[in-house]
Amino acid sequence: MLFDATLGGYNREMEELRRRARLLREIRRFLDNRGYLEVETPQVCATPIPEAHLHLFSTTFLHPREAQQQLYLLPSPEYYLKKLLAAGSGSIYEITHSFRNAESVGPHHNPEFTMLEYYTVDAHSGDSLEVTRDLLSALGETAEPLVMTMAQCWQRWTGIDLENVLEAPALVEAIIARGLSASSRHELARCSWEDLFQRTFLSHVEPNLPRDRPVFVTHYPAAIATLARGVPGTPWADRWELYLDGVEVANCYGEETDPQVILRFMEEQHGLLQRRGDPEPPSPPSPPPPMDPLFLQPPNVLPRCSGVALGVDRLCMHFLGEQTINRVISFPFFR
Amino acid sequence: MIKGGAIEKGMYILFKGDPYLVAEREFVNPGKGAAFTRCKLKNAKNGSVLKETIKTSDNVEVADVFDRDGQFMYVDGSSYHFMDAETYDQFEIPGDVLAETGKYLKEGDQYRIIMWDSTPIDVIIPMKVVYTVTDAPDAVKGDTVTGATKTVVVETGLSVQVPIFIKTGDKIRVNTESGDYVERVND
Repeated sequence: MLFDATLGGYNREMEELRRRARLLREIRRFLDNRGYLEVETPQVCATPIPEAHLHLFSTTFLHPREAQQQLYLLPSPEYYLKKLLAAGSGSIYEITHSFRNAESVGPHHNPEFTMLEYYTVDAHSGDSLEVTRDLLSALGETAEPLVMTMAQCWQRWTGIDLENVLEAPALVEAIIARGLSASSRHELARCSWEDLFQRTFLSHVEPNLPRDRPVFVTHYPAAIATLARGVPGTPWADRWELYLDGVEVANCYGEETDPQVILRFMEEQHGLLQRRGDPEPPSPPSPPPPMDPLFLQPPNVLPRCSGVALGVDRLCMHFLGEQTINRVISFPFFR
Repeated sequence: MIKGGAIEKGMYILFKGDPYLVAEREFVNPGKGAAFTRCKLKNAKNGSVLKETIKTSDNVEVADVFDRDGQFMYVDGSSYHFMDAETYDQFEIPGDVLAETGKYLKEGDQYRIIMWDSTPIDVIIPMKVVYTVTDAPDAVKGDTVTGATKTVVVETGLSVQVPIFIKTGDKIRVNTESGDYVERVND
């Protein structure tokens, strides 16, 4: 935060800005040296990828002669980066502002934030993990990262064998047997499997992740609907998340490339968006944004690739040793 | 009923018929997931603490609590005894409900007591309270390091880390949330 005299005047804040700029320079240098092409894509578009959990900022384009058009501030650059990949760009990255409405407030959130996304072609999430480990190291990380599968995390901090509770009734029984929730059996039975998974993970696993070194949590359940492809012959997705100081900083997929599977995901999410009407947080724009066939039309098909979405502000918090996102943003939304 | 996203610290909510104090709460958005409120809850009947995460769009039942004023009289080992300031009715709160809070109660002082369904479940302690030091060890000779501290005991049995110049009989202000020494108080 730049203009807050209570924080000791401008000089200290300017030093934070310089340190942040150095970090961004190092990120670019690292990816440039590895042959990634830096690209710039729009932050406003008419047809974002439908994602049921995200609330978007919307705006209106006033065309001088034609009907006005509803536009959305993008929650990540994924949509256009995948279009470039499908058009044959090769490995690319972008550092851009992204926007999320109705995001939880608090020390780790700002509605407008800086996102780094890098896509590596001919790669799966394990390759991205190696790149990200090297990136952290290039930025000055000295601690050796810990890599744990989601199942290992659950075994260690809940005692539950995740592979045995991939159906809601089994997970309800395991939660009750281990006293992991104050909710009644009746209340738990009304939850979806994904909600039960998230509630247990957020209460009992995430807070216990080591904070003294980077932690990669790998092999998320494929039952959580995402655009990560499945690991063949397993119930897991080709996906990991990176935690720094116990805070989620990056999400990575081995990207789903099958046009039919991608289309099905988008249709499902679109349907969920149409049914979403809860008053809190605010309802999404209605009707949900139209879908774009995106990278689904041959010959422009998404190549085998792996993408990482990394929150740059949270990365800065880690390397600058700050506890709140407001300390690494010049003009935070909430004061 | 409120939404999970409206849960606030200090609020009482019901789970399986028991009232729980929201001791901590933070919003979390897991990657590619819905928004949740992660809470640390304290069972107001038995003091047990648990972690619970609630979807911000799910309904949560608020416990219907009310206040009553009571004077703290004495502790008998397992329970804290109070007297209603208006009716002179006596009532007790089990020690495990108050846990650490009990050590901040001063005999004869009035407190705001949280009631639920005619059961007292919590006592509100002011943020900063003045206590009298009843047992202070002498400063160790030669211990002149800046910021050096020692442990003293106050009249309620509470142990506090204080600067080495504090003596038995001194009055000190203590932050009751952190248990930290704030300052010496001159009468």
